[in-house]
Amino acid sequence: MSNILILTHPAFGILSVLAAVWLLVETMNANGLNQARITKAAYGVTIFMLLAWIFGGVWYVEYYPMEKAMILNGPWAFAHSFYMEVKEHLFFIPLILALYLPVVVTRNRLHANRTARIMVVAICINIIILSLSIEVAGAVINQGSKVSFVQKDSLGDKQ
Amino acid sequence: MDNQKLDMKSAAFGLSAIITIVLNTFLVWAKESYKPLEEAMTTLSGHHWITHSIFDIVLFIGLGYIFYYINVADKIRDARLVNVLYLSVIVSTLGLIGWFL
Repeated sequence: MSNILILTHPAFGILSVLAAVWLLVETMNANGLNQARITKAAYGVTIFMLLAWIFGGVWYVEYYPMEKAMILNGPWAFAHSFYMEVKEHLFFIPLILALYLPVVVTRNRLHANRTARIMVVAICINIIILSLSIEVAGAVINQGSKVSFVQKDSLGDKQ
Repeated sequence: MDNQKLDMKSAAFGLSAIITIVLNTFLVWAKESYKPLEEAMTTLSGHHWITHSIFDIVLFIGLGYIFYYINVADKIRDARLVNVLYLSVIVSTLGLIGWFL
């Protein structure tokens, strides 16, 4: 179960980023004919982000504590003390932005409202940059865990 | 003709998003520097991070509806709201990174 959660969490995060890129492109080319696609892309960002939050959250609460102890005793303690600490709290920013997206997209005609377009573009850019940074942090945490297990194994071999 | 203003609900929830994003960072600082708060948050839901999640989402939705019904965001329905949103994301992100460095 832990493996499924740890794989689906970043997968949904990346799907959310892809949906944000799609929404960004559609918004920059808003013309009145693509409002339905804009709405779909916005809901895509929200749904994928919510799934990334739920799957990541279950893994973090249920399975991470043991791994955390390993990381903190390993050579890459910063993988938890910096990267995970920042990641687990920074995630709320793109989550809130993703929840906000459908409000702007469904209540404004984007092709006729420059401020709404700028708002959606701003939200997409923020979601893309923050989510990709969070993906990188996830990779560092994974590596921190890996080097801890390698160190534990090598110490075990010597004993 | 291009409309230059967001609708009322978008402005209200935009303002709510800005405040929630900033308060998210303040809550991290508070619970990291005052352990009884983190313990209380853990007691509420079983894990401080779950309580933190619920706090952020309830705050965003709650403030959004409050701002909408009291028309508080009426004067900032233009591009200034976008600029403040950018600023809040940058400041909050740097606040989190700086705290854990």
